[in-house]
Amino acid sequence: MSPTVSLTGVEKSYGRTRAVAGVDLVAEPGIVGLLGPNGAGKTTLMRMLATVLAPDGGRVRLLGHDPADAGGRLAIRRRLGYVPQEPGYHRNFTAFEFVDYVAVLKEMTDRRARHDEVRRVLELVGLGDVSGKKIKALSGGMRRRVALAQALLGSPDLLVLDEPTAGLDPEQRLRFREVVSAVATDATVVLSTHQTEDVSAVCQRVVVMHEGSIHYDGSVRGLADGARGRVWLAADRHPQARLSWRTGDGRHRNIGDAPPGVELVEPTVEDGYLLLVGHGAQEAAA
Amino acid sequence: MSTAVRPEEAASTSPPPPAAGGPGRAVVVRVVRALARVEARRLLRHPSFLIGTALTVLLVDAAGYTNILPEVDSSSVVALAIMGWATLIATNLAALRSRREGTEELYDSLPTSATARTAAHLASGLATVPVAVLVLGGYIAYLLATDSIGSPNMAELLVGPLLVAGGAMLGVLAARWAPHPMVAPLVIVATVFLQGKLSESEASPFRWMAFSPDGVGLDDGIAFPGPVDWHVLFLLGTAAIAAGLALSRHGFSRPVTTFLVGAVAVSGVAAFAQTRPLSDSAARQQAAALTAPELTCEVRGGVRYCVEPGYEVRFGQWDPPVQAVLARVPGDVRDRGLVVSMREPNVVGNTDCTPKPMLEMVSSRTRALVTPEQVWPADNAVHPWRYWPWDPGCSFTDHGTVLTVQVGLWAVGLPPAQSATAPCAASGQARSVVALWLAGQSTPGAPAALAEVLSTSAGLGRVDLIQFDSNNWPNWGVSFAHRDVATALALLDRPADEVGRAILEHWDRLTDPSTPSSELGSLFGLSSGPGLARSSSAPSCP
Repeated sequence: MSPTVSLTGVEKSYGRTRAVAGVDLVAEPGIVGLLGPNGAGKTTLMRMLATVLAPDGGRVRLLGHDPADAGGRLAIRRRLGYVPQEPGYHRNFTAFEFVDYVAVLKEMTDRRARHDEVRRVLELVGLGDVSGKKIKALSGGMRRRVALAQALLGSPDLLVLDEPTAGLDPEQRLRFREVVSAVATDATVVLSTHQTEDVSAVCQRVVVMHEGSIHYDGSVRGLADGARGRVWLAADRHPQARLSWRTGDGRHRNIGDAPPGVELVEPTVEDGYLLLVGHGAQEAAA
Repeated sequence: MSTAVRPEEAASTSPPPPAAGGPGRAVVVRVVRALARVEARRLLRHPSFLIGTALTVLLVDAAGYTNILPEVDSSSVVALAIMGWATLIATNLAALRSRREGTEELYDSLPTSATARTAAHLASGLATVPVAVLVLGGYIAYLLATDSIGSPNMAELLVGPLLVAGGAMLGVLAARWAPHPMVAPLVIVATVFLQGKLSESEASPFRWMAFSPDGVGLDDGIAFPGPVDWHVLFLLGTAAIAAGLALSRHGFSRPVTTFLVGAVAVSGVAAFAQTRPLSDSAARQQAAALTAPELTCEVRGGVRYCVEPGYEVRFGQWDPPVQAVLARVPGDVRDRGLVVSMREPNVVGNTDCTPKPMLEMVSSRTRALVTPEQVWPADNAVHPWRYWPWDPGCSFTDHGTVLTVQVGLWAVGLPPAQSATAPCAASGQARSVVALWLAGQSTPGAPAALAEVLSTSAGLGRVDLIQFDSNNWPNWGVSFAHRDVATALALLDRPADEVGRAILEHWDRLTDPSTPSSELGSLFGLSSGPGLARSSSAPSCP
């Protein structure tokens, strides 16, 4: 059985800028976190996974189909849920009307069954009791949940979520994790985010992109382990540290090549990520 | 988050699967139909459409001011064009919604293609057609419940709803090819301008492209509207072309190409048919309708009234003012046997309401078959037109006054209706004052109408009153002097019985062609009124 996502040497350029440069990626059911700084090529990659952008080179297979082929693309789209980085909303639609509209576009033509499904996904994201409100009257976080609700329509096999937690408050993010982790028991979820806590919380696997290439592809624990022995606490910013900040207890958390005798601490995913792509990481790698 | 749903519950819920099957046509049709229903519901609630519909309801009667059902077509076109423009705005905004509100990327990731979405927007526009039919049907029902005449031409009535459908198609077309909300208002301005240019002159070789079915045939005058069926088909084809072009924005697939080719073919054939010269048989029919019209007659109070079939209601409308005039004339005059017969006037308004000889408004083939003398013989009958009490279209001519002045002229021995020859000048003749007084005292609105004639005509610097003003065509057989009209108005200020008795007493003298109006003035103690006595180049009435 072919993997849900299979990318081989995928490339995409905008003029002279290479947004994605030879990416290889395979994903099976579960949650894959995609981390990377702004301009790393994450959104370009997500758009290719959502079949709205064709690669310039390389091979893409999603759900066993080639999106370059019209029939394959249709088959993929029928089993795909997508939350774009900047999902638009029809401001004068109610939440129910908007999700229902998307449901029609997802070929759910039986009105009664479609309405049941719309109610289900709205309940799932906690919008059941505001489904009759116009979207323009909803908060930013609620609108994000509307976007997530439409992506969940029809229980897709591939869920492409581009920064879905932006603008959510902590409680909403916890709820989001609850929903996505539940969906991922059967589906493949590719989650692009800047929130390393989200990745730590729900992803079995993390991919770090930087300047169009994958710099890390492995377990969440492995990303954190990459920083083992390179994170320490000190009274002040250490000159050898590539990154350093004062923590709540007044001491500095330093990341970099630790000098002997310092107080090493347990690294986090964020530490590992920062060492890979943070300020000075590239110079260090060179 | 207000509602708690356990993860296992979320995962175990079984949603309905999307429509099964490949990219089959049946699936696409089902989706388009479902989407069109959603869009149609929104379209019918759209503020632009609601305002347009309300304006149409308000204007459909005001635009028409006619109770002659065969003529409702052009008035309905004017009013329903407003609904069409409102629909254009509404469908344009709906088709631009995904672009304006940033959902294009999401929609592009869904199985429904952009072509299907455009098709749904186009199909949703058709939901406005029943509303247009309802508005039009309501108006017709209202007319039928009142004192309407004849029955409407169904093909002509279709033009209005077709304009609304065409507006919907144009709105989607503009959204697909020029995706900016400001384009729709510009399209409206362009169509208004284009319609004005196309129909500004009956001589325009592109009249057949205009909304209105009046005179659509290249060689047809507006007196005999052209082949309306072909015009309806032309408009239908044009709306379909707009729809096809909107769909072609996403590529020329085989169904889209086939549809577009079909639409062009229909529109082209209809355009060709519209621009064909009038056939010989049709020209003969039109000539016969002019020279020997089919009439239905009835005698009331010694007067023989004749109307075109369907206009029998005019008998009862014409008779009271006619009898009011005859009640003031000697019995031997009444016994001469007055005939009041419906006839086309020899001067009508053209498309911009400029008075034009009627024969210039018919096909050249028809014109070649008739002479003015055949159409407008000097038969000493009174010839009102078909309208009552007002004209539709160009003017608000008081047809009651036009009719009763003709009856007064007949009574005093002047030619009542204009014949093939120009009106003679009755200026300065006492009988012309008598005729005007007889007309003025017969209907309540006549004195005001005559006063308006005087004032308007004086303002225009006219010497003789051949017509009320540039937009009215009384078609009297004579022209009057200003001073005579003023004298008649002065008489109308006096008690009618008193004046009537004096006129009856001096009837023979006052109706003698040689009796000057000044003598009548002396009889009633009136000084010479203002205005010119006479200086018309027209020959004096014998």
